[in-house]
Amino acid sequence: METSQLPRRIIKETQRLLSEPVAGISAAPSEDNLRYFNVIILGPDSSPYQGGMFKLELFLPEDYPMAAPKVRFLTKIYHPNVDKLGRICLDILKDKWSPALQIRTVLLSIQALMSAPNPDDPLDENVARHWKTNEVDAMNTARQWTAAHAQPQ
Amino acid sequence: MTPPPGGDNDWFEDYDTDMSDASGHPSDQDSPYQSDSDGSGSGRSSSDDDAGDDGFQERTASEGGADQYKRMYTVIDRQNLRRMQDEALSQVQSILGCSTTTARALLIYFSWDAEARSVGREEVYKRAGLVSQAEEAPQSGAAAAAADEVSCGVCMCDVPRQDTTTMDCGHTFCNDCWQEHMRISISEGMSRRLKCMAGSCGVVCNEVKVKQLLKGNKPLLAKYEETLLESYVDDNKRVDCTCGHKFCFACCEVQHSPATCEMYRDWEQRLRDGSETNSWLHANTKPCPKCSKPVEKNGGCNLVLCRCGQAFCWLCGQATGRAHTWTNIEGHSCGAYKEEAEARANEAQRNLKRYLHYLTRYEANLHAIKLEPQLRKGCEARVDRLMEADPASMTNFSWLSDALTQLFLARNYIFAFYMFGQSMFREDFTPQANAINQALFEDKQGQLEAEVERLSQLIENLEFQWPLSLISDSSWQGLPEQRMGIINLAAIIDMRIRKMYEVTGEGAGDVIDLTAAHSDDGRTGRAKGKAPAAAAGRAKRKAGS
Repeated sequence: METSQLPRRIIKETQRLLSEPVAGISAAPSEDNLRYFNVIILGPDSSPYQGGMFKLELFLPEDYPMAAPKVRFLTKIYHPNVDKLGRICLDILKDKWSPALQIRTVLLSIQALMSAPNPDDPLDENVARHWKTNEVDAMNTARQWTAAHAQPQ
Repeated sequence: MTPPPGGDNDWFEDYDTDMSDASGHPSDQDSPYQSDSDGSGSGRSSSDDDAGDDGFQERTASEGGADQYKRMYTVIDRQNLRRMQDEALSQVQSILGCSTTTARALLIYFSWDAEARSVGREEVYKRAGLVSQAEEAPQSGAAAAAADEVSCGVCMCDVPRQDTTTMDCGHTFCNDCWQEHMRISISEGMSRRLKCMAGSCGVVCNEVKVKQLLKGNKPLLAKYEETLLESYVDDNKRVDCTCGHKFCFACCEVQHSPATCEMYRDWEQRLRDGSETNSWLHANTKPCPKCSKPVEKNGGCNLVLCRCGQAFCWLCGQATGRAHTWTNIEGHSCGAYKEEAEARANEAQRNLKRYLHYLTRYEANLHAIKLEPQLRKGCEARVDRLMEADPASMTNFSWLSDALTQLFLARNYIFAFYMFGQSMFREDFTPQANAINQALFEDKQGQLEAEVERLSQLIENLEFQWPLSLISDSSWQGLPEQRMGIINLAAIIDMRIRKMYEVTGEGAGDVIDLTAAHSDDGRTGRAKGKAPAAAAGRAKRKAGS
């Protein structure tokens, strides 16, 4: 893939992601499309996702950085702000996106969202209800899902 | 029409008799509309400044409140609109001593309601996306100022200082990135609140700097300026253009108040896609378990035979064998009561009945509206003829054109009330309250309709009682009885619409209390006295929201 067409910003961000990785997060561009990133986020400690390895895909659209990157969980996750298809409800991916934000900040925000689910702004109604009515039970389910689906191969 | 004395703003304020706007500042609720967006308006409205005032014709109803239904909107050309906006801006500027950008951002935030500005400055500035003068700009800009090259946080390039722009908030990015950001934001319709690019900054970009940056992109600059201008006329009202076109200010569709835009869309959707067909099917048929085609039960017991040959149980929809008795299907039992399914079917049936009721009436009314231009033509021909014969009597016929106008207006309102009726009385209230409300609403609607039909009839009858051949005779004295009848009826209809409007509120967001309006019946004096207060309350709510 030719890198000359890729905006300098994306090249720089990619370099920095690879040279100074964030703790618990790895992001590497795909070989055949440098706008497509394979992401792995480790479940944050003291969250029900602890010990899990979550795969995500991240795509930088044509308008990036003026438009937000598109991010989606590939690993099944029991979380009130993530739906069955892995789509994430996060304000900075929607209306709060700012061109000064980066791939790095987006992934950090997702990691933070895993530590602190927000059932008041749910994407998956059922999971959110579960979370609000019986948090302990919901966290147990999340732990079970982590054990079942998010284990390193 | 010459501009009324007392300065440029006065004609504007005349719009709203219930707004005591001491600042002389146009209030958002009544911002007139400029109808240029289709490009045809400028041809109609005169473009030079003095004659431009001729375009402002104003017919304020004498009372506020329910009379809003009749308020005429004016057509304003672009030039005048800009002038009015500039006046509002300079007024705020002179009071606060701030820049145009600040003034505009504040006014946009407060929907051009100058009165609301006075609340705590710091908080207001922050919410409106402005940097308070008291607050120091972040130091990043100042610190970087020493260096010749700035690293742009968006493209991550090092750019010479002269190729960057620092906004009021102190955030600096390169011009290319700003331009790209503005291109995308403006084309997405975000011109009004074009934000700084820094994360969680939210400060509105200085419009002088925006214009500077967009200098090279004329179409984009034009779009930016246009949206700034349009922010002034954002409103939600029925609008009558001087060209005769009537539309809703918010959705640009036909006028439908007091039905909300949503009600209107819902109604149109139903008319278009026949979703009621589905509703009917749901209420009256069941799908065959084999071929899935809807099957209607045309009698007999609960064993239904589809045309495809499949037998099934009408109660539960399950496929069965054919052996059965009147009360029993062999080898099949579904005695358990399925309350939910039953309730759903009942509701669908009720909704359908209501819809069909309103639809029939709506269509009859539509038919009448289509015929009425003919009526008007006939009347006009008569009046013309009479005026030719006896020029002195021409003033006497305004009652007829007034009555015709009232008739068309009433038909239009009946439409809107149908949409309203269709969408109301569903949830939110107890069934009893709903039943009472609906009965009262329909009663009032019925009375209004009856009177509109009578008026239509009276005017149509003129044709027979007033043949063209007679009119050429200058000694013709007119038809005093019919004349009085028509005038009275027009007045009654006017009153009825006003009452309906008062009751339904201007948007159905208000809680509807028909019972209160009902007890008011026959005491118009009191209702009139109340109206301005109600209107003022409504105005306040809008300003607050």
